[in-house]
Amino acid sequence: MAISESTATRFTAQDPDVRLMLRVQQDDADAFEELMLRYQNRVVSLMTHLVGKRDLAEDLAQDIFLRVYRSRKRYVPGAKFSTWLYKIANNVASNSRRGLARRREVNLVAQESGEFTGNPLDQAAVEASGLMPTRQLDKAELSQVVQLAVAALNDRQRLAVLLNKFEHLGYDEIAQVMELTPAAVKSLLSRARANLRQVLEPYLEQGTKIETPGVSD
Amino acid sequence: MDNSPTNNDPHRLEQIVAYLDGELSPVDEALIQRQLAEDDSFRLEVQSIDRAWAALDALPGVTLDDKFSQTTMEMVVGAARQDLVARTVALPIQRRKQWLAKTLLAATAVALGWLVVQLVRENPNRTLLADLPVIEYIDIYSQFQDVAFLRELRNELGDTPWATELPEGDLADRVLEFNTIASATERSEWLADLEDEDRTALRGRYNHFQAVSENEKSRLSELHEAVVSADDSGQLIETMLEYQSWLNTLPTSKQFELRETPADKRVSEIVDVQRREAVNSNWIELSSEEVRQLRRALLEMHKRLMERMSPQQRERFESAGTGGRWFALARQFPEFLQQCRNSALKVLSAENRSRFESLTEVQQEKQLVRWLRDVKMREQRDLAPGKRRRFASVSQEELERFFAEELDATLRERLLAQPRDRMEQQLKYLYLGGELPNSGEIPPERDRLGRPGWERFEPGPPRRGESDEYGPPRRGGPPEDGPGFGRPPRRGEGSRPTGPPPRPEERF
Repeated sequence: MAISESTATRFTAQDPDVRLMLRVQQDDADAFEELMLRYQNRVVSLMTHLVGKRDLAEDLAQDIFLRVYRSRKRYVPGAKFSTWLYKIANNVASNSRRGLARRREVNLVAQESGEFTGNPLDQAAVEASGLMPTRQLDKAELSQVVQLAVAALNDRQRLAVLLNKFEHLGYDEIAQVMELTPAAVKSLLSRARANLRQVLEPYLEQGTKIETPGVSD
Repeated sequence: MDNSPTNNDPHRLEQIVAYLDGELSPVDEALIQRQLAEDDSFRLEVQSIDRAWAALDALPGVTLDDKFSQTTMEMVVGAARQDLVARTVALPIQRRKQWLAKTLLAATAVALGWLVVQLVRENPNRTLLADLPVIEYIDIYSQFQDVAFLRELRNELGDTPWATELPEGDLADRVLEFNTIASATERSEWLADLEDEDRTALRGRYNHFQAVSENEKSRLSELHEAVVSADDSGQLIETMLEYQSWLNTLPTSKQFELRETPADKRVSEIVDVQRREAVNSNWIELSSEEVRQLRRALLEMHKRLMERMSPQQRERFESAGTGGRWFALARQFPEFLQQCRNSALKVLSAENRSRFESLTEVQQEKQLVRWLRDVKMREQRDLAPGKRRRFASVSQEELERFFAEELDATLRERLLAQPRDRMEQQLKYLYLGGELPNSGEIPPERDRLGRPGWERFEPGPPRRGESDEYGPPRRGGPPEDGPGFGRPPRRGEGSRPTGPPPRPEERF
């Protein structure tokens, strides 16, 4: 999509990351390093929650930064830098998931031989702490439960939640990253939050009840 | 399972989530806030959703060590190095591609430029070609309104021959030429074969065509289409061409007068003239040899009389035009006709002499007048079977004789002042019946005029200011200066430059 000169000027003025990226465009290695340092933790964190594995997330994050570098000459400041970056991240994550899905099909027989394959909350439910009577959840346990709740969301809901909650992207920006309309993002987020509440509420209210989530899309 | 109201009301849920995310409009936000204040269950539900959202803060964050950034930078540097190598390797190829692209671009630009130039340059020819039949025959098409006129003329004439009855082969040539010009595929070849004098004439007709109104152009085109597409188009074309041939023997004023006559009356007048002409069998046709000898005799007389001319008489003689000079001589020297009579009697065959002597004095005078015209016209008629006379058909010896014997000293001086090739061209032109122009334009002399009918159509001397030539030099020339007639622009009109005729500027 063509980006007007006024839009580019506006984002260049408002967003310091855009200015850094424009320096990267001029082959400024320092600017690239600074940009990477600003975003590396957030990108790896996002990718970890999206793909579920830290080492894979780091590999994917490096791939994302490599793509940023390779795309530098084509970069046009048509939005905040983070929006452009997370769009790349979304593409990389999608490609990765497709690759994993293909490998999973190949390994289906092996997975049926006793390995854990079900919903992560099911696993949590059989752990000892989940069988305890009414009690206060400790921090680590809450973290684990929340991770499982997030992992139980489908990919699109999970990405929208992560971008909204941790990257503070508005509906419009999420829509740009995910190539949806803002209304679709609003609907997607509302369903994601309903699913999260459905899963987490028993823990938060009583700390006892474990319910296998029937997550809806 | 949670059975809260929002699970069954997606819109309500969306509004609550959007409220918590600060994405609601002020109006919707106010509505939610009022509901929160008034509805405890709603407030609890909102708090529940918000609490679950807040719980996400417990998700562990990620803090990377330097190793990640170091590794990533190494990857980026490696990628940059690869890019550099790839670009360096591709540089000659790129340059070659760029050179090829530039060459192709330049070639395309040149080709386009050439095409544009060709289009612009050929444009006049295309316009001419598109309307060529109408342009070439504009004079005759201007003379009648519809094909019904031609049909009526043909029907009324019946077996009556035209006064200017064309030899069979000549008419066939003219029809063939008409069909060639009418054919969209053949007319360009016809155009390419035109000689300079014909080109000039065509240019005059083209200018004439350009000068008429758009309505008239459409009418002429439609008339041509009607002629060629009629079931009896062959007969119509023959009638039209014979009518044209006869019309050309009339002065322009007579043509105009005839054209202005109502169609039915015009037909009857034309037919009357042809019938009168047909009835008159006293005309004596001269053989080519007789014409040639008479011509020589007349030229001798001409030379003698020229020597006796005063400057004023000479000026009147020069300005009378080729066709009118004999008559100028007859007016200025009363004895001229008598001398002509004597000369004629010397050259006539025994049979023709006998027939001539049997005529009354008035008839003899008319016959002499006609022979004077024939002297000018008949030789041209005998030159070639086709309508158009070709320069190539004139021998060098004949030209030399013509130059030495038939041209006066003034003309010879003018010709000798030209470059050799130009002089030869103009000499041939004069030989073929043309007149060395004073107006800067060579008038075409394409027709071989047949037997005249105009003097019977309206006998008497030429009116004041009217040419006394027997027919216009142009085929079917309409009265260009007549009322209501679009006058074609003429180069150098009104002035009489004395230089040689200019070459046509445009190549048709």
